[in-house]
Amino acid sequence: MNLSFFFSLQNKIFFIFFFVIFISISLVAWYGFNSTEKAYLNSAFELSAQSTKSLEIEIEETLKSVPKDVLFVSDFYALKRFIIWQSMGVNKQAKEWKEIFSESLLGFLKTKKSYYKARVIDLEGNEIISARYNGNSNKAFLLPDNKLQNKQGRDYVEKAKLLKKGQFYISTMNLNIENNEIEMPYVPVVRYSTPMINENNELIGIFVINLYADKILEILERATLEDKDKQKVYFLIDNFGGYFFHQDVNKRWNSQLKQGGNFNKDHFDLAKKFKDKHHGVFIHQSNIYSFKKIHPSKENQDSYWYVISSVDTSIALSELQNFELIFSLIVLSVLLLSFILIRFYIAKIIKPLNQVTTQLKALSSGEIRKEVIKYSQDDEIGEIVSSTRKLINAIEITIDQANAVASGDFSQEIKLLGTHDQLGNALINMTKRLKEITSLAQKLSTGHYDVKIVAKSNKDQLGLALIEMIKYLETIGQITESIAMGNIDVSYQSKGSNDRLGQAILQMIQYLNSVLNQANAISKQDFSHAIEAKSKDDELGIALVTMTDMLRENSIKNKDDAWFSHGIAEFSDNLSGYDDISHLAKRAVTMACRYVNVSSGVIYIYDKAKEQLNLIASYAFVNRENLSDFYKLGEGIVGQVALEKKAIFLRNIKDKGFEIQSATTLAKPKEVFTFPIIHEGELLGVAEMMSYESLTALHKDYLLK
Amino acid sequence: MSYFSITYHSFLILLVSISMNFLVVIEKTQAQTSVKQITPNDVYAQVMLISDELHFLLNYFNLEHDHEGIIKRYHIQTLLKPRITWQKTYEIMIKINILRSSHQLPIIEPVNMEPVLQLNPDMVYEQTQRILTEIRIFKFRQNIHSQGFELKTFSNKTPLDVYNALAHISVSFDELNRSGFTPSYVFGETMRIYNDLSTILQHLGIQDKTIPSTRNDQATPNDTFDIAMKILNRIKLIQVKVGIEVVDFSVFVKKSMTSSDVFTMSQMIIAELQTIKAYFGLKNYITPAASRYTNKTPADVDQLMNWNLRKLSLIYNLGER
Repeated sequence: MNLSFFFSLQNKIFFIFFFVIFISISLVAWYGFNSTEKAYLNSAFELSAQSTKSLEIEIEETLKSVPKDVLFVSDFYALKRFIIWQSMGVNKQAKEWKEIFSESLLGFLKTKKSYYKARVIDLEGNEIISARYNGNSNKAFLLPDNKLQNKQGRDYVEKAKLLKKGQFYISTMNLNIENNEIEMPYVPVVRYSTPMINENNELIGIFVINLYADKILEILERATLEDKDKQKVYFLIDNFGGYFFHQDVNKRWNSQLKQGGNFNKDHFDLAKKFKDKHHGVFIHQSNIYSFKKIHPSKENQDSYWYVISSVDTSIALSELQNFELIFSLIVLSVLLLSFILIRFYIAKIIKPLNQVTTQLKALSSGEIRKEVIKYSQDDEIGEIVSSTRKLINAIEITIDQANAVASGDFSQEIKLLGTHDQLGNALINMTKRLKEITSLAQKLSTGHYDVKIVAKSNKDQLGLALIEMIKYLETIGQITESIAMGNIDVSYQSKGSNDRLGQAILQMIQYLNSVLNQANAISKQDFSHAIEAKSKDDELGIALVTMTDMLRENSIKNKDDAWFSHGIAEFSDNLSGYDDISHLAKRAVTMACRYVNVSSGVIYIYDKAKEQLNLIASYAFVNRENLSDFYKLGEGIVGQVALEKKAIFLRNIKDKGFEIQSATTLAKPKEVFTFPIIHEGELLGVAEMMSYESLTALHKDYLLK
Repeated sequence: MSYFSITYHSFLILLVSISMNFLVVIEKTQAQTSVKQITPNDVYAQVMLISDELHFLLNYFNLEHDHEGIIKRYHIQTLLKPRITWQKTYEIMIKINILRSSHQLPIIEPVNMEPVLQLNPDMVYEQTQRILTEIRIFKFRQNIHSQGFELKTFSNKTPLDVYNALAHISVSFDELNRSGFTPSYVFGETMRIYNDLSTILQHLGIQDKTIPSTRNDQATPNDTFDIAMKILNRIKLIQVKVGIEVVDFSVFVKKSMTSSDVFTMSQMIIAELQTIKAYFGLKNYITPAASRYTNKTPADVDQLMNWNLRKLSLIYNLGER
């Protein structure tokens, strides 16, 4: 599989998204699960704590009014007056106030219904008033004086004596005792006692009230029944673990009955677990325990009980297992949904992006692909698509504009895509510039060089080049104008090897100078200077060359004719009168050699009889052994010339092996012209001229003549 | 008719008018003559009769006494009010009860003073009449016969003279009874003060949360007397505030006090409280007689007297507010 598939943006984004979401969801799931697990545990703790808290509130609510009631009753005016008068021994007043107080006290007990007994005890521990309430009959009554007991030595009397005004002694919850015997049937009570202290800060008595503890135990009984399904159990214990309340009634009142159960033994050591805490929730042996310290009176922090709830952990956290399953399904669903959504959404994003990419890629290679990209969302991708569409349209327009400009059509108006359309503005500026340059060029093309163009900047190479071109053309124009005026004495500094016009001007100047020189030379009959035509089209040059050649030829011909005529004449003049052929021949060879300016010459005279040619005369000729003084017809060059009666012209004789022997030298002359001497068709002899210079046709013609 | 002329008619009117005026004058004259005018001289004369009777009884019971000395000893100089003198008669009436009780006679309910701002001095005279009558009843019941004592005539006697005479009679009764007031009697009178003060407080709607002071088992009559003086001073301040004429009780201060002295001061307090009661509109509330208490100690009296002082402070503080 192609690796690029995995590295495509779509897959990258998808994998990143999915990875991130997967990680995120996994983290969230992990965190959520842990948090939930903790939350469930906390919730279980909370519920346990709440249940004990509720019990605490309910119990304390029940107990809350007791201190107030105790204070309220103990602060009865009548009670105080009764105690005052009784202590002062004013029996009449004491009795009156006792009656008033007693009536109020009985009414109070009947109204409250939660108090078993209310007593006023003097400093010697004697009950001076004792009222009792029977919950069953809803009757309150005073105990007769003969039933009053001495309670000296009891905690609620002796400890209350040590308290300050407004403080309470609260006994532990226990069974009521009458005459030192536990009252039957059991009557659980809590005794609240408070010192009665007058405004002189004198202790004048103790007020004691016995709360029916059944009310408290009923609260726990009800809670136990309500939470029976949850298998939650409740305990109310003293700080030594003695049960006030246990589902099993036989376990209650252990500390008083010396039998039953103790929380410390049945569960754990209270002191170690609870320490000084007022409340707490913890797990102990797969049970969630929640405890709350209960103060029968907030003002008395030394007196407290514990209300404890206990529930099996597996029951408390049963909901957590359901949560685990549901939570896992939710997480998987979320992941799946995320997968689908991400896939769909990325595809939705990537498709137009791919199309944009394709279009941009094509654009980067100069191709415009106008494909409709379907993307209707008004978001960033929509912006990209829209911008790409605009970009391509703009570039297309720009291309059209550029094409028009390139084709020289500057007439098209360029529409700006926006106020910040830099390309459009550049095109407008470029078109404007090109128009300007075109106008300039048009003027220049009409030979109007008196134009100006200003360079836009030192980087405006076209402008600068045009300025240079105008300068150049002006220079060229001035030069050509000067030339046109016949003044070719002008100078021009070529711009370089590529300055063809300049070079041409220079060549033209040179050409014209050469023509001028040529003309001047011709005018001075000097045909030595040769002008070369520049080309086949150089008609002037060709004409001048032709004219020069013609003039030179005419001049040469005239000279040759004169030379020839003069030579003939001189030859005729000098050779007449000689009868001796040998002298004549000698004179002739000498004259001929001198006139033609050859190095040496010989003349062989034909001996018709012997058909042999014999050396008769020579000029600057040296005999040598290898050179013969006579030749038979057809022998050697001389014999061959004589035989054919035709001249032989030898040139560039270099090869040593050449067998042909010259008559004059063994050296190799440049040219050797051997020609017959014929008179009236008769062979008279053969002359051979050797020259180290080239012999012209004129020379040859002269010699032949 | 000439009988109905204006002149005749005017004459008749004038005649009727004169007749009416005459009748009014006659009426007034008759009324004035029907009420006996009691003077301090009359009261003093009556007190002297009591003194004579008492003197007789002391002699009768062979009880030696320094009659003159007592007079000198209890002779005070101050500006007293009839209510104070009247209260002294009440004290004597209590002592008569003691006398009766000691002679196996039933006690009698003493007459109590009506709360008034200014006690009519005649009421003191009436009290002396009652005392005199009670003494004669006692003599009758005890079958003691004596010659009649002659009512003497005195002049230039003042209410203070009456008081001082009553005071020495009271002391003489102690000699006759062979004892002064016990703390129990004083406690009874202090309870009367308590009741009066409670009544005033209740009437004024003042919440009374006062309690007795801490019991001082070492309390003496001197201590209680001091408290009583404080109460009187506090009452005086109240009286000054409300415009009641006050009495200077500083003349009663002595170095050594007995329960009888405290009893006397309790009587002064009760007398002064009547003006307060009258001022606050409690004119119909007559302080009931004292109950009988037994085995009371000066400490009991002191504690109760202190309580009374606290109660009185509530009334005084109300005035302050």
